[in-house]
Amino acid sequence: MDFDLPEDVVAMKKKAAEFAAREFTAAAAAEHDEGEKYPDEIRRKAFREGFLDMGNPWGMLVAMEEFCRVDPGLGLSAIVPAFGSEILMLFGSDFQKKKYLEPVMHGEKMSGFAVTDSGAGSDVAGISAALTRNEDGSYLLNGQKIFITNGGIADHFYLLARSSPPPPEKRHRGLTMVVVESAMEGFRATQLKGKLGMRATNTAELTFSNVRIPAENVIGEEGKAFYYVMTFFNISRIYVAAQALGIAQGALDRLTSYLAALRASGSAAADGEAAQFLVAEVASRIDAARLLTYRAASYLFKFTPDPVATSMAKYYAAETATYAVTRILEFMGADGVTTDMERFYRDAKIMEIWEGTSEVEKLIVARMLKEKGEGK
Amino acid sequence: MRMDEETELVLNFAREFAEKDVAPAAALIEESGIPGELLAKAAERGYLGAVAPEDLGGASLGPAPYMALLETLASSSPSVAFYIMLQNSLVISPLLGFRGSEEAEAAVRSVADGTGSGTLLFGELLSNARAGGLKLAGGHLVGSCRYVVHPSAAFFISESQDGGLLLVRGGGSRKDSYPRLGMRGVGFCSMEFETPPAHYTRIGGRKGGWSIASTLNSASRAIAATALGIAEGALSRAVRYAAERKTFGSELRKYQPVAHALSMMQAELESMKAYLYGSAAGDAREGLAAKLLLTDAAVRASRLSMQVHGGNGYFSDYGVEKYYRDAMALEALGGNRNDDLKLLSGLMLGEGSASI
Ligand SMILES: Cc1cc2nc3c(=O)[nH]c(=O)nc-3n(C[C@H](O)[C@H](O)[C@H](O)COP(=O)(O)OP(=O)(O)OC[C@H]3O[C@@H](n4cnc5c(N)ncnc54)[C@H](O)[C@@H]3O)c2cc1C
Repeated sequence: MDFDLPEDVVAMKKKAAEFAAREFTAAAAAEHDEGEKYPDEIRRKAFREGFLDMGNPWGMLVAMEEFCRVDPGLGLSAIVPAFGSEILMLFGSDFQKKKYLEPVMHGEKMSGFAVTDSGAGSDVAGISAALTRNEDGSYLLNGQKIFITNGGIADHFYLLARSSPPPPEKRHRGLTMVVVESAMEGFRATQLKGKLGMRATNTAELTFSNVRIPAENVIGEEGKAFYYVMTFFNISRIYVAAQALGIAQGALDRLTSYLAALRASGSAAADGEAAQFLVAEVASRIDAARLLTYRAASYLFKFTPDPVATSMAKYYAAETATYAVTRILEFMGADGVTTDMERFYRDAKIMEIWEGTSEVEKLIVARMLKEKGEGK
Repeated sequence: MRMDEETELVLNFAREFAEKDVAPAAALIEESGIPGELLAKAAERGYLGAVAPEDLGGASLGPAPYMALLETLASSSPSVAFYIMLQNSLVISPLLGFRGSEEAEAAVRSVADGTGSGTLLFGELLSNARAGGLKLAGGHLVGSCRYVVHPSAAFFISESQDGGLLLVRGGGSRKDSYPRLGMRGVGFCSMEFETPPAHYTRIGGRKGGWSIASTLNSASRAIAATALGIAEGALSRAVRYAAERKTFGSELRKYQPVAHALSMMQAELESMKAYLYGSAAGDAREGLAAKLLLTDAAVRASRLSMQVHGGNGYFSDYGVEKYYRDAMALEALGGNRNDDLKLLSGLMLGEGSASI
């Protein structure tokens, strides 16, 4: 066991911290938050500097953390253009990798991952978008998706739809994943405005009306996509844990500098035991969350993912993010809500919701532990 | 909870106002402030002068009906409740301490009839770093105020060192505007004052007794009632949603973690509500305790409501994220939590407690 990150990861972490400090200025963060505007310039720069490198997962993980530490909305936006790519890396055909994955890896195109619809989020098998087969082997896609990140700006989406009615008690069967291009006829995206936080990211509702999907756009095997989605979540949740860690750490950084400023101004609040305990409690949880996250990441990056470790990390890190921002903002009071801590407070809440709510993560942990206990 | 007749009456009228007038304007209030039209209606109903006596144009509400009014409005629009709390507890109340002063009485009248709103310069008390505030220098009132709530008020109330009240009607200019976490219906910025003698009036003084801090403390129960309304608004929406939304074939309320969390939160709010309405109006200890308990409960209830609403809750059109923002804003603007905890500890455990 070694608790030190390898040198190249430490170097990447430092590089990411420097990039974030330089690019995620207070003005840029406020502007994209207020205007609900995706920072395309920042995306390009982050790509040019090599932060979107699927071949270096540890590098991406620590970059995500350092980015969100400075500004969660801009930070995630810088790394999210390739959202969903692991699906093609793991299950895509050579044709799909060449046509869809490569341009994303070259920073020329953006992707998205579309599962949730208005009737079902946690209950993935309950989605209603439908694929029907044409005689020529192609499919027609009908239905809708909501809350799709990159929805209004991505060039294509890895999308889950129902291709056959499920056998009773086997609801996860009959789901198929396809690549849908935003330029396809019958595809429509409408940006959803009015998010609480993470407002620099683009979120949209998608509707499909008889969108023709060629057979070669079916990912993996027809009817097996529930498994692909769960496999993907086991990867993406680790990156969400890293976002949450960054948010919590960023909040702690802000508390530390706030206390230093208070101390300098001679305020007694800076060194009371209440402040000391706050620092200790938040810092302890952040470290616990970081250990869980890095452990889950180390399993995954060695190609032996452990869903229990992953779900624990995502749930605990998300809770740590909201815990940290809430307690710190309560301590800072008016001195906090008048700074970017208020944005951290708004941004943090999504961590407990997307890529599997905290409740869903707990159900996974319990179910998997039960299965292990039963020797399955 | 059973209320007396007067409170029930006020409650019913307030509910009607909340449903007919406030709720339809909720989105507008968040975007561009409380519309003047809505404030005019609030004045007509006597809400802007709720605690003012009738001879000054007020509704002369007792403490319980006043709290019920704030609670009801907050569950629909926290900003509207906060604004009414500001006009009554933080503006009219201190002015009523100077009855007989023409200026003070005229100011109360103007607030009550909606022709001129006021605000209290209490922002320096909210900061952990004590700096700023107004000083008299060569007859001029000068200084900076870091946190001014409702800066577009027609007049500002500050204190003079000898216990007098300063009614300031000019010489203020806005400086920094702040990101608006919550209470978006009410403005919030820093201001600089350079007010010549002609633009402020000093009322009372040299007898002591009045201070901004004591005014804020006496507003504890009103702030607690506002927090209670926020918590109830957030929770009732979550309860409704949990009865409708299905996942995995069952309504959310069937799942133990969801049901337990919602019902325990409801129990908590009911018991705190009984505590708040049962507390004595002049009891600083109970008032402070109610404020600390309920502002905290509002933050937790709004977080729970957000969680139950899943992705939907994260968007403004579901009307729950505003409780999440407003609950935290109320904690920040309703007093300095660290100071309040120290004060409460002193009252409960004796002088000198919570000092290390
Ligand atoms: C800004 C944003 C971006 C998003 N981006 C994407 C994206 O790119 N792609 C995509 O596919 N989706 C995306 N989502 C959707 C997100 O993943 C879902 O919102 C999330 O999975 C929850 O689903 P839901 O909203 O349907 O909530 P529901 O599933 O309806 O859940 C509501 C609440 O009930 C709880 N609950 C549900 N079932 C149970 C149970 N059995 N026991 C206990 N509690 C339960 C949940 O935990 C939650 O608290 C995004 C959402 C947001 C807000």
